Amino acid sequence: MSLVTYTAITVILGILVLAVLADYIAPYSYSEPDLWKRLEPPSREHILGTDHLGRDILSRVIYGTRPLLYVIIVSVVIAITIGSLIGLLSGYFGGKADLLLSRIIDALMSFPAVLIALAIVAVLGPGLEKVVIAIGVAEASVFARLSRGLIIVEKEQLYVLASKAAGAGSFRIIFRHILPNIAGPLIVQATFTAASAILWEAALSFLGLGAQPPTPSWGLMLYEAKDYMRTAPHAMIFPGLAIFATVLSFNIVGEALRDRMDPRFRKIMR
Amino acid sequence: MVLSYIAYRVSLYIPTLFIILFITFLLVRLLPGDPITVMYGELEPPPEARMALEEKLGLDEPFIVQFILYTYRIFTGDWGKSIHTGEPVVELVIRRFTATLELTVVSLALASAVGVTLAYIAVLRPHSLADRVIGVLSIASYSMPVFWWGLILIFMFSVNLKLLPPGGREGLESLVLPSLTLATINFGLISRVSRAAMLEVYSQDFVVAARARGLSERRVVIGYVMRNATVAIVTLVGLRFGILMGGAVITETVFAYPGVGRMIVEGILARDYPVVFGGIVFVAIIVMTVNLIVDLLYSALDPRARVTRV
Repeated sequence: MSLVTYTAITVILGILVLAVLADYIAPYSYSEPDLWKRLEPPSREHILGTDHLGRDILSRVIYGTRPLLYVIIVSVVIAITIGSLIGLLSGYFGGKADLLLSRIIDALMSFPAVLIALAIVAVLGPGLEKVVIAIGVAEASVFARLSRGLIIVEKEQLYVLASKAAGAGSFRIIFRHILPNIAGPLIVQATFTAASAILWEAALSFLGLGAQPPTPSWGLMLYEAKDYMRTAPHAMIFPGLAIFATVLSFNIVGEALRDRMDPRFRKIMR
Repeated sequence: MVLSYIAYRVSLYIPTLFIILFITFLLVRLLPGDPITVMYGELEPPPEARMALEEKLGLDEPFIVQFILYTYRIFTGDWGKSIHTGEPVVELVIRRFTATLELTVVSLALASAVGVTLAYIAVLRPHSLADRVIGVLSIASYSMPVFWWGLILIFMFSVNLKLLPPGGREGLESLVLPSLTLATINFGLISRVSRAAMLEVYSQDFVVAARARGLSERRVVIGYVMRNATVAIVTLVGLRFGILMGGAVITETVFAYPGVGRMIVEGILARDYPVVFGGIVFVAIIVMTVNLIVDLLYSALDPRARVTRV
């Protein structure tokens, strides 16, 4: 593993630590406004400066790891559950249902995902809980296509035939025998999906449709800072850097994991 | 063989088109708040006016009838009028589409030039320091939050240096920043895929033979490796083109650029059903058509790909 990969892993672990220990690490509250100290540039007191309500940006970036983890975990779980359930069943049983489902997945994938997410948020209304659903659903088609491809290859393996011969039911074969064997590629994909989920949440919050104040979401911080860009660029630069570094780290770890994966699966991923 | 492949691909296209029509129809009908309430704003519309409008907009028909009517209208070119401005949606979409098309073509050309050049440098010495730096740069490219990068560019080039307009669409200058933004987040994928495609060709016999004949490494890469990797690169750029046609929503918003993506967002916020509908369906049709063309092109360039897919 290279230095780059180690750095990326460190960043991700660092985010976990910050999220757990935010109360002890953050120097100030993330929500308490201080109107005497609005939009102050970085100083010794406020290392990353303050935002338009005088809140410490460093503290908000640190507390921001909590909504971040919430978004990653919930949206990836939704995407992987819906997607792989459809993909696995469709790929395992084949037939007409598979043909129809594949068409639907194709149709969804030919949509720019941002439009799906936007439409869902428009239906459900703004808010972080709704954004994770939108991201989860919009990203589900990726897992559906991947798991379908994987199970089509995997169901021809000897051990599957063996358990069929031993009288195992389809449900048992899919979830007890095949799923553990194709979990690797799904986990790799989950890493990439985590990266895009972060970008999604930030983008939707940036459009004003995601997290609502005073949530310290990095995307929302950017949304709030963009009006003060001329006088206080620091308020926009640091949350953006935090998003960038996190997404980059997830993508680098994903790439590293993919390179170590079973070559049998490498072709199916991309 | 060729004809049957084309027929097969086109036969896949039609049901997908219907599914898209149905999904968009469903989604937009699920939006909260009906357009009439939105048109009247805070005022309560008089019942007669409401009924007349419902009839005019076809909102009083049963769900399925509305869908069939809608599909019929799509195919006859009657996409309705914007509830707010009264402008025919087809005209609106086409006007906005030209703006998006300009942006997409310029930024993808830029991204491809940078991406392929980087891949070329990387492939000359695989696993060297240069290759690894380019690898990280490429991942950084698609890890970039696009709106943030857009804001940074606005801050640098219009607020500080006062060189370029921060948004809008007047003259060529206003195209520079948005296309730079989009090119930045797209060159990475192009460079990674090009590198992988080139490396795959790299070790093949005809390349080894060319090298054995004493050709310089540069000529081997340009004349033999790149040429054979073109298919993969063209495919990727084609697919990105489709995605950007509708997916440039955020860039268009940051730069107040009047493209299709921004039109759809505005439509959603204003509950302008015909505009949202028209926009999404239009984008989906464009994306699907581009994908179809890319696929057919691929099979024309590389006969091995003509095997019917699972």
